[in-house]
Amino acid sequence: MNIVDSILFQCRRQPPAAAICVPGPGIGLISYRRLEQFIHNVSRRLHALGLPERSIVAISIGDVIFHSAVLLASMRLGMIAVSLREGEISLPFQIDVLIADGKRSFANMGRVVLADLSWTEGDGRPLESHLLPQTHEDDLCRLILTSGTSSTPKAVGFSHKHIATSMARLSTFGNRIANCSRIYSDVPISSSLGFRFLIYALSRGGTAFFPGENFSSTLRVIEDYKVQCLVGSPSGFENLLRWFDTVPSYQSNVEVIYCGGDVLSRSLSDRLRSRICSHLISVYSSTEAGVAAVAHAHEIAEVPRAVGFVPPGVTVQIVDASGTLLPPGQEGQVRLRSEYAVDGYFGNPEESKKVFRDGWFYPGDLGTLSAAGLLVITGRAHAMLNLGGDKISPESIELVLAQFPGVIEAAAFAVPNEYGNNQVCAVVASRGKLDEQALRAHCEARIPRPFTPVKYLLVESLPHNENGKLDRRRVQDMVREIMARKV
Amino acid sequence: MNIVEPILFQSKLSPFTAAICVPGSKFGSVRYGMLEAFIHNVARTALKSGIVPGNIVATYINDTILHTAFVLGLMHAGATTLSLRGPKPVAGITPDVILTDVPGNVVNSGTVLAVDQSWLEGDGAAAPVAPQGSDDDICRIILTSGSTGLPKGIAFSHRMLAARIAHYTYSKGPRFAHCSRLYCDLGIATSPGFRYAMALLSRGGTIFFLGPDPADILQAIDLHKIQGMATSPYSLGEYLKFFEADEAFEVTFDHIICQGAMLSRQLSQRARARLCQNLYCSYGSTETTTVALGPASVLERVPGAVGYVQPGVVVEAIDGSGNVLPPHRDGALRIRTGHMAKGYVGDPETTRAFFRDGYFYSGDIGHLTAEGLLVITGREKTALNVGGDTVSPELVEDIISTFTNVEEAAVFALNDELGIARLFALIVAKSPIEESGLLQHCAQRLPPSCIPTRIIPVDALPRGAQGKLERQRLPEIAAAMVKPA
Repeated sequence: MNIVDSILFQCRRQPPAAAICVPGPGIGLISYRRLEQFIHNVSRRLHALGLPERSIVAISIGDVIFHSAVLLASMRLGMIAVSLREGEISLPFQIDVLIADGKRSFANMGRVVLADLSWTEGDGRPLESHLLPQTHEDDLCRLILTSGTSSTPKAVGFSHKHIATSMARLSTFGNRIANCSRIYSDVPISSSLGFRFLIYALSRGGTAFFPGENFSSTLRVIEDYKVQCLVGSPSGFENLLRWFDTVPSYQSNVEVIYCGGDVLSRSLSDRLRSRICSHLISVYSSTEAGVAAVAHAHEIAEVPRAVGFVPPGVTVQIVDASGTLLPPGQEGQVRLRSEYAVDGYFGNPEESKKVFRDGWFYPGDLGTLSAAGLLVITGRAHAMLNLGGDKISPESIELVLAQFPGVIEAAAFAVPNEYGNNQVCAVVASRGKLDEQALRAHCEARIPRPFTPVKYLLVESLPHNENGKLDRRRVQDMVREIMARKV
Repeated sequence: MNIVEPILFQSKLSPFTAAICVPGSKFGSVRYGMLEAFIHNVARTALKSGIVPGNIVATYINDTILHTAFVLGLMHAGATTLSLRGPKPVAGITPDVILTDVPGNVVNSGTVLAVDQSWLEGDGAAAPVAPQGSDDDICRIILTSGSTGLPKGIAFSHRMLAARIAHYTYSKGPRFAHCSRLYCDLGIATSPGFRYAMALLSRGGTIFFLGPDPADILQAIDLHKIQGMATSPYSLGEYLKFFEADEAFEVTFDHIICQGAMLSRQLSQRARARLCQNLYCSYGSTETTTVALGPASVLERVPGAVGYVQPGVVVEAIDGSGNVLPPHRDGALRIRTGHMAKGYVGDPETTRAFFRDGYFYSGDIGHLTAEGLLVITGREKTALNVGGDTVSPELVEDIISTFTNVEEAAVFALNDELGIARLFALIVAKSPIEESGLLQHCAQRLPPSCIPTRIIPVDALPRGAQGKLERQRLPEIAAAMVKPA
């Protein structure tokens, strides 16, 4: 089955119901009836491009509803759709066409087709059936880009069947998720979480909500339209919580929160549960392997850095450097095997080899697994920083720091804030005295907001190991020492 | 307690919750925090404009949200409010001030003040409201529907209104008791419209009213997860027609309360099948408050049943000499409730005719069953005398309405050239009706005196603001239809 057929079925079943809502000046709100017309009209435009089946269609459209229509139409036509994220400028594979709203520019993207809202206009009739390809459920239809905001991203490919099964699994993560028909995703449809919940809401005839033009219009819609479920990452929920904490009279009516992307800290878990919704589901998941652990946050709150229990269909192992299985409770590298995992990155065997080995996926985390199946994530095996769900390599920040006049070397690392979410802290070795204000401005102009350092520590030199590489562990020790001295 | 206080209290608890929502209107919706500011600003501007506590202040304002904000602000300032449905005040009630957004059209012996949105503006701080207001001060005059002819005013004190709102915790059934989002199809100027608004706002819920385009409210029902609807049988029929014509719409109501007139069995069954299975009928009046309520599924089985008599309400059927009749014996109904009106404002004569010995004489004829079900069999005034036989037009109308393709009917008597009353029926039909078939249908079910002598198809029946059939207008409509032929 083509996964989009399940959405078109809902369009026929309940045309006047709301399908997608994004409060703001764009399309704003679309009913199933109009969504169906959008999909068919856009399909006609896409078909006219004369692309062969399984063409890779990259989409760069800011309006979420228009973007969704192009995405669903492409998938329906048997193409492979990839949504470009904010700031994405290049891809590690060849695409066949870029559908863009013309608001951003791209390097080396090949064929670019500009699309505007006239694409959604037309008679709304479906494409004649002989023009539609025969979809096989194992055909790829969606690529999700993962990590590496400034380094080259990797793409994970999903088939119709994969999407259908991982969606069916969502409702097993608590009956409140199963009962939800109005779901707000704080993360965009370009991410695996946002995409999955879009399809989950639409294929069940519910309404998918995404952030609007501003915070207050989003909250207003959540309140007025009785949104039941919030989906997001720890960093997104931190922002939401900051607002809730400044407006104590705001009463939340949310029934369940689904939080993934990073370890939910004790502090954030407690505050989210006490202020927004006591029914908080913590998941440990990746685009590559889906959900590998899940729990109600209150069940695991007592265990520091616990992320959840391993669900059926997934095997998690903790191994040492030589790949030997470690006994329960002992710390080591996490690896997993899952019916919901892919077996490599799309068009990138080199990167695949690094993390997909012998049937296992290595997410790059260190952790422990209890005899009861509780997974605890204790750290990262490599230096990637996870800022409450937003991931970045420290090297990309360090590169920017080093460009500032007078800087010899810099190290970026993560320090938890009062919500338990990581923020970037920079240690900078320099010749002579540095203008910290100017350094800050330099970084803010070049690094996307969640990744700009919030704190700068100026030192004379940084520690290195015997190979001359930056010794990140000793940098951490050094910082701890400096901070202690300051206090 | 000033009746507006609970609303101000809810504004503190949940300033971000929508209070009043009129989809498609100029304001769209107003949140509790904003409503609180509106109330204070209107109260202050009113006092500054020379309105003093105790003044009767009539409002004739089109926009529902603006209108409601004014009514609440004025009541908070100690004024007696009165919502006019037309540009002229009602006979017997002289407002001290009329506030209107269409000043050119309004006629009043007292002051006419033009109002606009600027009255809502200000710092939203509490106004220096007369502190010595009493619970027994009159805060609201509500005009009862004109089905008896001229509109009459009923005065409410803060205490009476509070008691009637408290009554809502049980009087409208368990589903309404839990309802925080209600669509009221009856306007804010009507008695039920005003009280549903006050009930929802006092409990911190959201009240929805009809905006300029009905399509907006139809979309809002699902979008806003509106739980309940309060409506009249007439409007219920209109919604039913819409939803029956467009099968794509899923109706998501948890309950519907229907009031203002009798619900026919046919409408009841179809509404339950298509709109909402939890359909309640409510029987009452502005004079008495809710008298009886019951699930339509139960009431459908007993012709004329309007509901179970409410606790604290006494309903008696009496004979011509004032003796209380036993259950199942028809008589004129009289009603006593804990918080009923004392009479009509500025109309002692009509008051004496309807309010006697602590009872309100509703003008209905009916009886109670042994189970406490109230059954209405007719109206004293509508009961027709046809050749010496007393005919209940409602009974005849029910029978005609069950005939294929007849949507509704109204029956009345006209004297013929010999001075003998003849029965006429106006019918609204989906397609042309074969008259002989309809007459045969009636003959099989009714005594000879109840069979209409003339059947006149019309487009619609005349109805008042609450959907009540305006029986006094039937003869003129019939005359107009018959003349050209």
